[in-house]
Amino acid sequence: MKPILIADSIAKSFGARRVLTSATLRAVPGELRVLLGRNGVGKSTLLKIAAGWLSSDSGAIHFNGRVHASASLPELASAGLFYLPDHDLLSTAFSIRRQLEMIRLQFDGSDIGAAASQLGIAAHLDKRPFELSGGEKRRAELAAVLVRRPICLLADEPYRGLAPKDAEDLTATFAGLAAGGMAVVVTGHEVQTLLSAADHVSWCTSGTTYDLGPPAVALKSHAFRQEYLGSPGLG
Amino acid sequence: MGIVLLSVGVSLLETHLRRERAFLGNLGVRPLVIGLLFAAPALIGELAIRAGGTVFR
Repeated sequence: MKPILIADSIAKSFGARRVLTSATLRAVPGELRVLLGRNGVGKSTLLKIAAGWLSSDSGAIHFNGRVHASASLPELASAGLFYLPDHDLLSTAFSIRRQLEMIRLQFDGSDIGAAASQLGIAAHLDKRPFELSGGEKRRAELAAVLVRRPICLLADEPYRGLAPKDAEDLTATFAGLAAGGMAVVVTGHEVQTLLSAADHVSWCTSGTTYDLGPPAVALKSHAFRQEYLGSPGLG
Repeated sequence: MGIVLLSVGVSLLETHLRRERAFLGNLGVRPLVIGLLFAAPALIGELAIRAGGTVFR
Protein backbone atom coordinates (compact mmCIF):
# COMPACT_ATOMS: atom_id res chain seq x y z
CA MET A 1 0.00 0.00 0.00
CA LYS A 2 1.07 3.58 -0.63
CA PRO A 3 2.61 5.47 2.32
CA ILE A 4 0.34 8.08 3.89
CA LEU A 5 3.35 9.84 5.41
CA ILE A 6 6.85 10.23 4.02
CA ALA A 7 9.49 12.27 5.76
CA ASP A 8 11.78 12.38 2.78
CA SER A 9 15.56 12.85 2.71
CA ILE A 10 15.64 14.61 6.06
CA ALA A 11 18.80 16.33 7.25
CA LYS A 12 19.23 17.88 10.66
CA SER A 13 22.11 19.31 12.63
CA PHE A 14 22.24 20.63 16.17
CA GLY A 15 25.02 23.18 16.12
CA ALA A 16 28.10 21.50 14.73
CA ARG A 17 26.66 18.01 15.33
CA ARG A 18 25.05 16.50 12.27
CA VAL A 19 22.44 14.00 13.45
CA LEU A 20 20.69 13.14 10.19
CA THR A 21 22.20 13.46 6.74
CA SER A 22 19.53 11.88 4.55
CA ALA A 23 16.98 9.88 6.48
CA THR A 24 13.55 8.80 5.29
CA LEU A 25 10.57 7.62 7.31
CA ARG A 26 7.49 6.07 5.80
CA ALA A 27 4.16 5.28 7.44
CA VAL A 28 1.88 2.93 5.56
CA PRO A 29 -1.82 2.38 6.31
CA GLY A 30 -2.43 -1.02 7.90
CA GLU A 31 1.22 -1.50 8.86
CA LEU A 32 3.01 -1.38 12.20
CA ARG A 33 6.47 -0.12 11.36
CA VAL A 34 9.27 0.01 13.87
CA LEU A 35 12.19 2.38 13.68
CA LEU A 36 15.19 0.90 15.47
CA GLY A 37 18.64 2.25 16.11
CA ARG A 38 21.18 2.89 18.82
CA ASN A 39 20.84 5.77 21.24
CA GLY A 40 21.72 9.13 19.74
CA VAL A 41 21.49 8.10 16.07
CA GLY A 42 18.51 10.38 15.43
CA LYS A 43 15.43 8.14 15.66
CA SER A 44 13.55 10.55 17.88
CA THR A 45 14.75 13.51 15.84
CA LEU A 46 13.46 11.90 12.65
CA LEU A 47 10.11 11.10 14.27
CA LYS A 48 9.81 14.64 15.67
CA ILE A 49 10.51 16.09 12.22
CA ALA A 50 7.99 13.73 10.60
CA ALA A 51 5.40 14.90 13.15
CA GLY A 52 6.14 18.56 12.53
CA TRP A 53 7.40 18.91 16.09
CA LEU A 54 10.86 19.92 14.96
CA SER A 55 12.00 21.62 11.78
CA SER A 56 14.51 19.98 9.47
CA ASP A 57 17.44 21.59 7.71
CA SER A 58 16.37 20.01 4.44
CA GLY A 59 13.90 17.46 3.13
CA ALA A 60 10.12 17.47 2.94
CA ILE A 61 7.12 15.96 4.67
CA HIS A 62 4.49 14.38 2.43
CA PHE A 63 1.31 13.71 4.36
CA ASN A 64 -2.04 12.56 3.07
CA GLY A 65 -1.43 13.79 -0.46
CA ARG A 66 0.14 17.13 0.42
CA VAL A 67 3.73 18.27 0.58
CA HIS A 68 4.59 20.28 3.67
CA ALA A 69 7.84 22.17 3.24
CA SER A 70 7.68 23.47 6.81
CA ALA A 71 5.24 21.17 8.56
CA SER A 72 3.94 21.94 12.04
CA LEU A 73 2.30 19.47 14.41
CA PRO A 74 -0.98 21.43 14.61
CA GLU A 75 -1.17 21.45 10.81
CA LEU A 76 -0.44 17.73 10.45
CA ALA A 77 -2.66 16.84 13.42
CA SER A 78 -5.56 18.65 11.79
CA ALA A 79 -4.91 16.54 8.69
CA GLY A 80 -5.08 13.27 10.67
CA LEU A 81 -1.74 12.68 12.36
CA PHE A 82 -1.26 11.89 16.04
CA TYR A 83 2.12 12.18 17.75
CA LEU A 84 2.98 10.47 21.03
CA PRO A 85 6.10 12.23 22.31
CA ASP A 86 8.88 10.64 24.34
CA HIS A 87 7.51 12.37 27.43
CA ASP A 88 4.05 12.39 28.96
CA LEU A 89 1.43 13.60 26.50
CA LEU A 90 -1.46 14.52 28.74
CA SER A 91 -1.59 17.72 30.76
CA THR A 92 -1.42 17.53 34.54
CA ALA A 93 -3.95 20.38 34.76
CA PHE A 94 -7.04 18.39 33.75
CA SER A 95 -8.56 14.98 34.33
CA ILE A 96 -8.14 12.25 31.72
CA ARG A 97 -11.86 12.48 30.91
CA ARG A 98 -11.67 16.25 30.29
CA GLN A 99 -8.71 15.85 27.95
CA LEU A 100 -10.30 13.01 26.02
CA GLU A 101 -13.43 15.13 25.78
CA MET A 102 -11.39 17.98 24.25
CA ILE A 103 -10.09 15.59 21.59
CA ARG A 104 -13.55 14.17 20.94
CA LEU A 105 -15.08 17.62 20.50
CA GLN A 106 -12.25 18.91 18.32
CA PHE A 107 -12.26 15.99 15.89
CA ASP A 108 -15.75 14.54 16.27
CA GLY A 109 -14.02 11.58 17.86
CA SER A 110 -15.31 8.27 19.11
CA ASP A 111 -16.84 7.39 22.47
CA ILE A 112 -14.62 8.08 25.48
CA GLY A 113 -16.13 5.37 27.66
CA ALA A 114 -15.61 2.72 25.01
CA ALA A 115 -11.97 3.77 24.47
CA ALA A 116 -11.31 3.82 28.22
CA SER A 117 -12.93 0.41 28.70
CA GLN A 118 -10.98 -1.07 25.82
CA LEU A 119 -7.73 0.01 27.45
CA GLY A 120 -8.75 -0.76 31.02
CA ILE A 121 -8.67 2.79 32.35
CA ALA A 122 -12.39 3.39 32.82
CA ALA A 123 -11.91 3.62 36.59
CA HIS A 124 -9.25 6.29 36.17
CA LEU A 125 -11.07 8.69 33.87
CA ASP A 126 -11.65 11.30 36.57
CA LYS A 127 -8.07 11.24 37.79
CA ARG A 128 -5.29 13.50 36.62
CA PRO A 129 -2.31 11.92 34.84
CA PHE A 130 0.05 12.32 37.81
CA GLU A 131 -2.23 10.03 39.84
CA LEU A 132 -1.65 7.15 37.41
CA SER A 133 1.17 4.63 37.13
CA GLY A 134 3.42 4.63 34.07
CA GLY A 135 1.46 1.82 32.42
CA GLU A 136 -1.88 3.51 33.12
CA LYS A 137 -0.58 6.78 31.67
CA ARG A 138 0.47 5.06 28.45
CA ARG A 139 -2.97 3.46 28.24
CA ALA A 140 -4.61 6.84 28.83
CA GLU A 141 -2.51 8.25 25.99
CA LEU A 142 -3.60 5.40 23.78
CA ALA A 143 -7.20 6.11 24.77
CA ALA A 144 -6.58 9.59 23.33
CA VAL A 145 -5.50 7.90 20.10
CA LEU A 146 -8.62 5.72 20.05
CA VAL A 147 -10.84 8.75 20.61
CA ARG A 148 -9.01 10.79 17.96
CA ARG A 149 -8.96 7.97 15.39
CA PRO A 150 -6.04 9.40 13.41
CA ILE A 151 -4.97 8.00 10.06
CA CYS A 152 -1.35 7.96 11.18
CA LEU A 153 0.24 7.47 14.61
CA LEU A 154 3.88 8.22 15.42
CA ALA A 155 4.95 6.95 18.84
CA ASP A 156 8.36 7.95 20.14
CA GLU A 157 9.79 5.50 22.70
CA PRO A 158 6.39 4.72 24.23
CA TYR A 159 7.80 1.91 26.39
CA ARG A 160 9.69 4.15 28.78
CA GLY A 161 9.35 2.91 32.35
CA LEU A 162 6.92 0.12 31.50
CA ALA A 163 6.88 -3.36 32.98
CA PRO A 164 7.30 -6.15 30.39
CA LYS A 165 3.60 -7.10 30.59
CA ASP A 166 2.53 -3.48 30.00
CA ALA A 167 4.99 -3.30 27.09
CA GLU A 168 3.44 -6.42 25.58
CA ASP A 169 -0.07 -5.01 25.97
CA LEU A 170 1.04 -1.73 24.42
CA THR A 171 2.54 -3.54 21.45
CA ALA A 172 -0.67 -5.53 21.02
CA THR A 173 -2.64 -2.26 20.98
CA PHE A 174 -0.33 -0.80 18.33
CA ALA A 175 -0.72 -3.96 16.26
CA GLY A 176 -4.50 -3.76 16.67
CA LEU A 177 -4.56 -0.13 15.52
CA ALA A 178 -2.50 -1.06 12.45
CA ALA A 179 -4.75 -4.02 11.73
CA GLY A 180 -7.65 -1.57 11.76
CA GLY A 181 -6.03 0.38 8.92
CA MET A 182 -4.01 3.00 10.80
CA ALA A 183 -0.43 3.75 9.75
CA VAL A 184 1.65 3.22 12.89
CA VAL A 185 5.34 3.94 13.44
CA VAL A 186 6.96 3.15 16.79
CA THR A 187 10.51 3.64 18.04
CA GLY A 188 12.02 1.81 20.97
CA HIS A 189 14.62 -0.66 22.11
CA GLU A 190 12.23 -3.45 23.11
CA VAL A 191 13.49 -5.47 20.17
CA GLN A 192 11.80 -8.81 20.80
CA THR A 193 8.41 -7.30 21.60
CA LEU A 194 8.56 -4.95 18.64
CA LEU A 195 9.83 -7.48 16.13
CA SER A 196 7.18 -9.98 17.18
CA ALA A 197 4.43 -7.57 16.13
CA ALA A 198 6.02 -5.40 13.43
CA ASP A 199 5.16 -5.58 9.75
CA HIS A 200 8.25 -3.66 8.72
CA VAL A 201 11.59 -2.69 10.22
CA SER A 202 13.52 0.48 9.49
CA TRP A 203 17.00 0.92 10.85
CA CYS A 204 18.40 4.33 11.65
CA THR A 205 22.19 4.54 11.66
CA SER A 206 24.96 6.93 10.66
CA GLY A 207 22.53 9.71 9.84
CA THR A 208 20.44 7.71 7.42
CA THR A 209 17.76 5.01 7.41
CA TYR A 210 17.48 1.60 5.81
CA ASP A 211 14.16 -0.05 5.11
CA LEU A 212 14.98 -3.63 5.99
CA GLY A 213 11.54 -5.07 5.33
CA PRO A 214 9.61 -7.57 7.48
CA PRO A 215 11.30 -8.70 10.73
CA ALA A 216 12.29 -12.08 9.30
CA VAL A 217 14.12 -10.34 6.46
CA ALA A 218 15.58 -7.66 8.75
CA LEU A 219 17.07 -10.33 10.99
CA LYS A 220 19.00 -11.69 8.01
CA SER A 221 20.81 -8.38 7.60
CA HIS A 222 24.32 -8.99 8.83
CA ALA A 223 25.03 -5.28 9.39
CA PHE A 224 21.79 -4.80 11.35
CA ARG A 225 22.51 -7.79 13.54
CA GLN A 226 26.14 -6.89 14.00
CA GLU A 227 25.78 -3.17 14.62
CA TYR A 228 22.40 -2.92 16.36
CA LEU A 229 21.22 -6.21 17.80
CA GLY A 230 24.68 -7.29 18.82
CA SER A 231 23.27 -10.67 19.80
CA PRO A 232 23.44 -13.65 17.48
CA GLY A 233 20.72 -15.31 19.55
CA LEU A 234 17.91 -13.09 18.33
CA GLY A 235 15.78 -14.42 15.58
CA MET B 1 0.89 47.02 25.86
CA GLY B 2 3.42 45.59 28.31
CA ILE B 3 0.76 43.63 30.16
CA VAL B 4 -0.50 42.11 26.89
CA LEU B 5 2.98 41.00 25.89
CA LEU B 6 3.56 39.68 29.40
CA SER B 7 0.33 37.64 29.18
CA VAL B 8 1.42 36.11 25.87
CA GLY B 9 4.88 35.37 27.24
CA VAL B 10 3.49 33.76 30.40
CA SER B 11 1.01 31.65 28.40
CA LEU B 12 3.73 30.27 26.16
CA LEU B 13 6.01 29.66 29.14
CA GLU B 14 3.24 27.90 31.06
CA THR B 15 2.34 25.57 28.19
CA HIS B 16 6.05 24.82 27.79
CA LEU B 17 6.59 24.13 31.50
CA ARG B 18 3.47 22.00 31.74
CA ARG B 19 4.61 20.13 28.62
CA GLU B 20 1.23 20.80 27.09
CA ARG B 21 2.57 21.76 23.68
CA ALA B 22 2.33 18.22 22.31
CA PHE B 23 -1.23 17.82 23.57
CA LEU B 24 -2.26 21.17 22.13
CA GLY B 25 -0.41 20.38 18.91
CA ASN B 26 -2.33 17.10 18.60
CA LEU B 27 -5.51 19.12 19.07
CA GLY B 28 -4.46 21.22 16.08
CA VAL B 29 -4.00 24.32 18.25
CA ARG B 30 -1.19 26.60 17.12
CA PRO B 31 1.00 28.48 19.63
CA LEU B 32 -0.24 31.73 18.07
CA VAL B 33 -3.82 30.85 19.03
CA ILE B 34 -2.77 30.13 22.62
CA GLY B 35 -1.00 33.48 22.73
CA LEU B 36 -4.07 35.25 21.39
CA LEU B 37 -6.35 33.49 23.90
CA PHE B 38 -4.18 34.70 26.76
CA ALA B 39 -3.69 38.15 25.24
CA ALA B 40 -7.41 38.78 24.77
CA PRO B 41 -8.37 39.38 28.45
CA ALA B 42 -5.31 41.58 28.98
CA LEU B 43 -6.08 43.51 25.81
CA ILE B 44 -9.73 43.98 26.79
CA GLY B 45 -8.68 45.16 30.26
CA GLU B 46 -6.12 47.53 28.78
CA LEU B 47 -8.70 49.02 26.40
CA ALA B 48 -11.28 49.32 29.23
CA ILE B 49 -8.79 51.20 31.41
CA ARG B 50 -7.95 53.57 28.56
CA ALA B 51 -11.60 54.10 27.71
CA GLY B 52 -12.39 54.70 31.41
CA GLY B 53 -9.51 57.13 31.65
CA THR B 54 -10.82 59.08 28.66
CA VAL B 55 -14.42 59.19 29.92
CA PHE B 56 -13.67 60.09 33.52
CA ARG B 57 -10.79 62.50 32.86
